[in-house]
Amino acid sequence: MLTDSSKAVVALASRLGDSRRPSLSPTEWDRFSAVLADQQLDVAMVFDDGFSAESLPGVTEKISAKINTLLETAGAATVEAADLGRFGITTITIVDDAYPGAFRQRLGNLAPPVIYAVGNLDLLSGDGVGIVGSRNVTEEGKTAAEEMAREAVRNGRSVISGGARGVDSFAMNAAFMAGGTVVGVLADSLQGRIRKSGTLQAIDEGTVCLLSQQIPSAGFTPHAAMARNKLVYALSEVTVVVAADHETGGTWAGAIEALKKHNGRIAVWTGDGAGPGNSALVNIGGSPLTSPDQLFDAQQDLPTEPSEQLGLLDSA
Amino acid sequence: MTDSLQLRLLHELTQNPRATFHPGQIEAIDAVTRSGGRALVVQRTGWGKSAVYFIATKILRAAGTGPTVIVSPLLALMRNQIEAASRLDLTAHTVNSANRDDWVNVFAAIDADEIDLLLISPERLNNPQFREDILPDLLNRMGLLVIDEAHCISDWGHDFRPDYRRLQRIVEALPRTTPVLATTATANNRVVADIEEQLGSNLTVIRGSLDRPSLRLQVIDMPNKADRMAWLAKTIPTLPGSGIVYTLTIADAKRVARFLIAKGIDAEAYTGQSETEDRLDIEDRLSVNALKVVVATSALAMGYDNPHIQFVVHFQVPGSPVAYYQQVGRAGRAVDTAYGVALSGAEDVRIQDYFIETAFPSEEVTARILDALGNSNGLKRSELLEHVNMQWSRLDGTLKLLEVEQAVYREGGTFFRSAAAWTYPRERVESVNAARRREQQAMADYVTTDACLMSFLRSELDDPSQPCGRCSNCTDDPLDPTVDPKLSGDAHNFIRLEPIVIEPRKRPPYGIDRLDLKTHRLEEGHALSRYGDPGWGELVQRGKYQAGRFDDELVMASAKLIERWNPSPAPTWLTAVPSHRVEGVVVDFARRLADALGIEFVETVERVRDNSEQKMMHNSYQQARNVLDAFRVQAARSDPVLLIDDIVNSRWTLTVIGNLLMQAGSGAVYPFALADSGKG
Repeated sequence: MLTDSSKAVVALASRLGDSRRPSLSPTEWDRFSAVLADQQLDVAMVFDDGFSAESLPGVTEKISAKINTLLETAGAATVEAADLGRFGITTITIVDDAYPGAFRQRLGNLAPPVIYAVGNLDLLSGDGVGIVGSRNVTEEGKTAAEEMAREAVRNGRSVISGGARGVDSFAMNAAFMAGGTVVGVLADSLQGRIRKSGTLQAIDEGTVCLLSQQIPSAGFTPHAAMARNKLVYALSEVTVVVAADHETGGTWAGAIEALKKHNGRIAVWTGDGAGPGNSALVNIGGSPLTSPDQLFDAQQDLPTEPSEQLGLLDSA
Repeated sequence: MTDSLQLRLLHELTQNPRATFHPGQIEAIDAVTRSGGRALVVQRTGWGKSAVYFIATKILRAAGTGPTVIVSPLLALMRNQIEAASRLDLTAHTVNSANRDDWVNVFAAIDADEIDLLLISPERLNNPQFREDILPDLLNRMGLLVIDEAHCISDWGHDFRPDYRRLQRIVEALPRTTPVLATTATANNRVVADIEEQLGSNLTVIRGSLDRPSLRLQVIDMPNKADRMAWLAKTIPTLPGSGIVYTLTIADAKRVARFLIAKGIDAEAYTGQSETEDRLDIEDRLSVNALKVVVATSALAMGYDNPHIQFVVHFQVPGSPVAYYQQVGRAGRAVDTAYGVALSGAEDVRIQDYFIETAFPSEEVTARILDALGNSNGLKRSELLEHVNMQWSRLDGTLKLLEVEQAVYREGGTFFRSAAAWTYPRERVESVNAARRREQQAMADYVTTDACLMSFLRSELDDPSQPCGRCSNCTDDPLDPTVDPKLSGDAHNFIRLEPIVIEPRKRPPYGIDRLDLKTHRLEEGHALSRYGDPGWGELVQRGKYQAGRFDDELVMASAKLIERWNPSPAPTWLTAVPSHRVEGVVVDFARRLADALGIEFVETVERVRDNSEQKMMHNSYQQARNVLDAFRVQAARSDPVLLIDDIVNSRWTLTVIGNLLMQAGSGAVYPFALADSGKG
């Protein structure tokens, strides 16, 4: 059940009820919640009689106007959040205990205020290895993804991936086959994914959690795919880039962004099946990985400070 | 100052410049005209709950809020309310399954903020079109949400309705700004506590006495059904005004109504099976005393708003004191004396048991449905019937429950398993069942108690009181409890001679295409008895399972019935459904019947496969499949024919053989059975 505070987050920062709602972006939400925190106010106050965002010091006119508009359509949003329960989807807001702490810590003001999840939500707070890569991957790349997944399972980690075809699904299937658990971070269509064969069974067995920051009925957009990549890196103790194209494609862009923002530890596969962009990623700070069994050894050696290359890239 | 505004509105509404508020009305109005106000009003029908939400709506609308939404399960209420609202110059509209063509206009009017009150049934909240096209906007703008018959929201209420679960979810999910008013006339402490929990802590509860000072209660123990019918026929003409007779089953409502009509009483049956139009017509005629008595099931229960009802008689005793009080409380609102009589029959407990036992689907059935859905990419209702051996109506009920439990969801006509982990709520089912058993016991106590009947019922509603001084335990019997033996004999014969109709099946079950029921359809037929009923029903049972031969008395009675029935064009020959296990028992009976009727018996139906007994099959698909390949018809005469079977169950055996006979060139096929199992 949604608390008054989580209802307020849904009302202000989700597109539930009407996908065209001008909801607060993660950064706008972050600024607004900082104002509330300063005054030691709970966000549920937006539902108080006589609430006005204008009267809060530090809230811009633009944001307060937006908030007033959003509150006019709060009812449909909060009821849809609860209604998602009929698909088995849980709405989790940034003020809820179930919200993954890693998002807040690693993504800062880009953390999504509202996420949607099905399946075993405990997996969100467990340890996991991110495995990412292109949709089109060589036979060797597939083998590498699968071996990486099995290595994660052997070490009691979940496999965290994007749920796209190619590397994502090879890694996830290998984890299932090895008796492991999987967190799928989706860029779109959570609602539709529930119906795919096998999903329900895995949910029943408690071996999967699917989550998305897009409303469950949303279709694919490139922007959503990038936002999804951020979540994969943020949730993983280490993320392995199995195969990236060079200076193109979502894997490349996601890896560059993660390196730049220091979003978790990043390992780059350099063995058979590595993608054309992999060596470039190593050059700008990714930690090279030549064998799956180095996955957890290598972790010790990963840089915790930004490398110099990264500094160069920043100023570019 | 606000008081004077409210009072002025009351005067306008009642068209009475001296009207004053009942205790509690002002408090309730105040509570729900505040942002986020929540109130629960537990008051008897007629107290003036609608004045609360009409006046509140007027005040809220003047303050610029959106429309009030009233959720009510009552057809009758909706019409009365729309009329009453117009007195306050409030524009009220309803959206229901009967005015679908009008929806677009209503939606547009809501959009243009031209509607003050919108009345909807709880079912509407689960309707996909309503849910998508109109609900979001309503949820955003709604100025006040009124939940009528709010006890339905509670598991512990005697009348929990799955659609109210969705309403509960909406209330729970709405921002706390929307005021909510819940009203009911029947809630004990437990139900009130449950509603309090669901509506939140800042709830204003307004609870008044449920006494009905005009009502004289009486209990008459009368095990025999014919006696009770006779008592009604004798007593009703002596009673002033109009009233209601409640039965527990649809069959009894129809039967009692027919008997009363036969005895010259102006009566009508009103059940969940009646067409909406007929129901409205009956309600109208009852309202203007143009009808002496309506024989109704609980379909005519809540909130039927007629202050002039002067008697309510229960032909059977319901299983819950709260339900009983709600029904008997229909009587005596605006009259000085009214009667509330409970006739206690021998069959009461058996019927109550049935309702209790079938209230929840079993764990096994829910598991089978969820398995079937989990292993598919969604299934339609008719496809599900292939997987689960259960009656259509039971499947529907189970799916509805699984839907509100969020274990299953529906898109269009297709059902899907949701991704929520769901386990059968065994504990909840058990504790609700235990509560139902306690209520059943309380009703048994009501029938035998020496204490004041009114106090007994009110204490069940946690509304303690002194003895009423009016009931059959406090003073003399309000009505003569004796039965006229001659009328009793009439009623007995009426039951015996009552035609039991075998309605022709009109459509093959989904997925069975080769059964053409458009051109080869049975005529209407008859059964001699209800299986197992005293008299012929018992004789049929004995003949089939003990004697291996049907008694001559059954042959004579059947011949008599068929002569009275006199189907036209008349059948010139007769054939039989070959028996299943007992060799030739039906054929033997059919031969003797043919002799008695003076027509020819032709043995032309052949059993080619030993199928399972039809009574083991629980839905149309499986029943029809079970018989489809089991029979063959050799040849048929081209004249009309009587088709004889011993027990009619689903009617699929008769339907399929009738179909084969007609394909083989026979004339019209009239089905006849010795007994109806009552399961078709």
